[in-house]
Amino acid sequence: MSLRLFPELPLLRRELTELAARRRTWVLRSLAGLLLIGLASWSVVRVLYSVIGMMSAPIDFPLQALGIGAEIFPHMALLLFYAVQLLMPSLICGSITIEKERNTLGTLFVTRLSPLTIVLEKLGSRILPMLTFIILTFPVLAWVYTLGGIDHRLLLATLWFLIWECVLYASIGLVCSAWYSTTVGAFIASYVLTGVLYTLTTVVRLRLPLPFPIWQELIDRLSNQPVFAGFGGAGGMNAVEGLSHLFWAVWPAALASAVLILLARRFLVTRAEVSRSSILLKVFRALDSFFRDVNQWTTGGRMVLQERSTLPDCDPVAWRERSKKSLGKPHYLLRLLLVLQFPVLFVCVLAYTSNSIDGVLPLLWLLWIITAMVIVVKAATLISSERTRETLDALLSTPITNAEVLRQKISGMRRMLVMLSIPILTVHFSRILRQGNLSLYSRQMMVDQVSWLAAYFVLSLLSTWVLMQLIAWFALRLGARASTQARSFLITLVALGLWFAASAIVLPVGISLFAHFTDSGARYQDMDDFFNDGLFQRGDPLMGNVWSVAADVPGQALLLACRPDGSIIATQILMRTSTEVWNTRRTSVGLYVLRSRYTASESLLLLILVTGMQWGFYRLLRRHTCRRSARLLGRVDESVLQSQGVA
Amino acid sequence: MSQPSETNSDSAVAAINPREMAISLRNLRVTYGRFEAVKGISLDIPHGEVFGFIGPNGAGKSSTFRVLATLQPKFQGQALICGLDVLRQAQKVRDVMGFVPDFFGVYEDLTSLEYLHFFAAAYRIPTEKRKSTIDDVLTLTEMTHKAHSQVDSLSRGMKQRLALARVLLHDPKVLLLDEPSSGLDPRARIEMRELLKALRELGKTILISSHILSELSQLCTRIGIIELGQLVAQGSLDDIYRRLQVMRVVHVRVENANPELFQRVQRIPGVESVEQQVDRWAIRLHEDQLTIADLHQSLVDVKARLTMFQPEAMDMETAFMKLTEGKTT
Repeated sequence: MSLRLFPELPLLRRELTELAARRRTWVLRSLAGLLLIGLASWSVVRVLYSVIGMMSAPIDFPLQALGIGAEIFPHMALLLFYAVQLLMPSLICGSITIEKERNTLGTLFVTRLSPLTIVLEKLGSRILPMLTFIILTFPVLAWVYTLGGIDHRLLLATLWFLIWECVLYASIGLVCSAWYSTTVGAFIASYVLTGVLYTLTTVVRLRLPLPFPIWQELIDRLSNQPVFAGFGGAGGMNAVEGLSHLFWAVWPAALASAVLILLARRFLVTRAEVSRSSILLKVFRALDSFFRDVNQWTTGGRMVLQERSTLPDCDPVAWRERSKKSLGKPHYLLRLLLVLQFPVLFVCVLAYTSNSIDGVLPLLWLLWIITAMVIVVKAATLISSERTRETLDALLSTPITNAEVLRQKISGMRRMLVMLSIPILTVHFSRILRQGNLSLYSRQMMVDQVSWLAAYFVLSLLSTWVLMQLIAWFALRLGARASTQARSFLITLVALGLWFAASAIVLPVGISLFAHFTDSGARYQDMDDFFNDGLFQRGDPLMGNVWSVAADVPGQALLLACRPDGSIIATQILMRTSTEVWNTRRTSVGLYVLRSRYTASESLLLLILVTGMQWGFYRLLRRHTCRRSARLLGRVDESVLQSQGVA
Repeated sequence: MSQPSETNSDSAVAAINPREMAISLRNLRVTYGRFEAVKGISLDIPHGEVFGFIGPNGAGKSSTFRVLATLQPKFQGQALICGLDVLRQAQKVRDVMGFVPDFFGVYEDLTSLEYLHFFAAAYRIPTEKRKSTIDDVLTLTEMTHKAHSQVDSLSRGMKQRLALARVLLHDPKVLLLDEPSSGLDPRARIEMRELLKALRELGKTILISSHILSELSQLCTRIGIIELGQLVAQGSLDDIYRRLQVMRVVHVRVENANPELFQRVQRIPGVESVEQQVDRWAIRLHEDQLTIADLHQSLVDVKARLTMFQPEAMDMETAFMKLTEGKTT
């Protein structure tokens, strides 16, 4: 028997080999690496130019830029910390659940690997790839380091904290993975916990002994400029006071991680055979039970909506979605609606009585996030759930056409979409009531106001419906080819995030660059001018130039229509503008990134155009998805062959 | 030992009009990336025939089934069902064909009756005819008493019956059954076999794959043996046995065994070889030159005092083992 210096770590080796063998690992790694490097470079350029812009004299000698690394470094460090929080849960949430889904956890238990070893090796197998992501940004870090102003101890301390950040968030994800039976459940729980931790430590600034102080300290240090900025200059030595300080600074995170790892070890064993019941189903069952009890207690068990047993007529796929799925049955949907509607009404009444016109705005965004998530979960898994349950082949051997299968699947979601739209429309309606009450000054004003509010409500109804359909078809299109529900859900979620990022960041930057190199940007004499005047000095770093380029309503409508949240923003613009209609003056709409001035009719036109364009996108997407349905479902379609000229 | 296919000759194939066949495959090739799952299978199954498809796991059976069930958009060659091209006339093919895959995924939220109504609607059976059609198939598959049971609660045997009931709803001419007996207990298997016999009596053309070879021998009029994506043999059971029996092995035990007698036996015309084993001789003979009875007579003639004379049993399992080499992908 030979003594090994390092343990063999077979599971870690297997996991890393498996990860390395998957093509998607490399695709994702490349994408994440490019994104990180891109964001880091962007951060560097942004800070560099803003610092230069603040200097009294223009830089004409490169050595004058020396020392501004200290200005740039905190931004980059923050970016890396956020990257860890964003990526780590998705990396680790499937580490144990995948063993449960493949029924291979039992095989691991009968080996000589102890549960703690399994947990630790799983942890290592996900932390190492995360560290590789961080390493990808080293070239940018190195360049920033060469600009000067960064003490090497600060650099090392940041890396030290980053490693512990990885361990802490990996431990959170690992506990979720050990607890849940499915990757989707673990994924959602990991991000919810991460969000809770973020909210408690950053937004609420809650100070608790464990596990938050380390995180709090890091954020405080990184976000408070003097700590880092001063470090490169005189008197910054108090930021890192040596090795002992570094060691003691991370002990809460280390302790919290240790506790979480031990919990994960415990759940690994106790919840190894947990049944794969849907979380949604559990929620529904609990709600069902609660409402049944309430109904029994209040009315003696009378039912408003009696569930009748029906049989399919000519649309069997839609029938099954409507009458046999939890999110299709009217009484379930009604109960879910009640759960959503009560808090919505409460907040709306609160906003109404407190004269806060924008009080319901965060609620509207929250409702949209919930709505989008529910639609994505449902629509993305419509086909993959058939595939997972091995029912798709039987369905596809019938004469229903491919496009018809997809159309009926979405059609089966209609009730759910109606239910989800009610709280959103309630928020819109409450704003109408609020504004209606504000301005009953004259008959003419009332007529104006009523017509505007009616237009607002009709357009918000239309835009809500169009956006829901757009998201549903988007999710169906992306999720249809995936082999598992977890994969289809994750693919769609990532794609939705990319869509948002692309439309909110890439498109404006692209337009700004386009403006610079065309006539509209010709006023910029050089790149400094472009960055300082064109891109950054318009109140908003990204959008400033965009609105000057696309100042007309159709141009801005196109920009908004490209965003998944475009119609929501356009609805807000209309509401803001409509408040000014009866005051008969033009208004400045300052919602989010918008800098342009609109008249009421312009804002109305804007919403019509955005809704119309998104309807067009939805129809195009639907048409394209139906055309590609054979490929999505993996089935012969003679119409496709005929269109390709195969006679 | 692998034997080359003889029934798959070009001349035999050319003589048959594929449009008149219930199922016809010509040089079918299915590839997944670089992997070739099916390597040029040609096959003709006339109407009313029960054709057994035998092969080890990964041999290409399910890929062939998927092509015929219009679930495999990419393949080379020609595949016809009742004269209809599965690529260009896929919708029509789905009307004349019923497919039971090798797994039975359930719509766990439906009862058996709802399940059948679901597929009756999918097969576009007129609403007024659905009830009687469903009653008929439930009776045929002896599932009437389970009509209101949740599909999820049915035993595997019952689920397979329900799957058969499903594909009978639109009264297809051709049934594609991919391992319908897989995972069934002995009773359910026997019941399934009887049900398939009943379907055969109804004149359905059935293409069935199974690992349980004895079952196929009782049910099939012809069989095809597939290995590594190629048909190594096809024909009636008698054809295949006869072809395999060309090199038959007979085990004998001789009381007066000696080297001289051993040589005399080797010299009997039609004997290919004699292998001396621990307690017996294994005589390999060309059965077309020397029958089993003639060998017995010849042994007596060379003064061999026989205490055991045992021709090697030739059943479907032996045939399968002889024709295939157990290669899997």
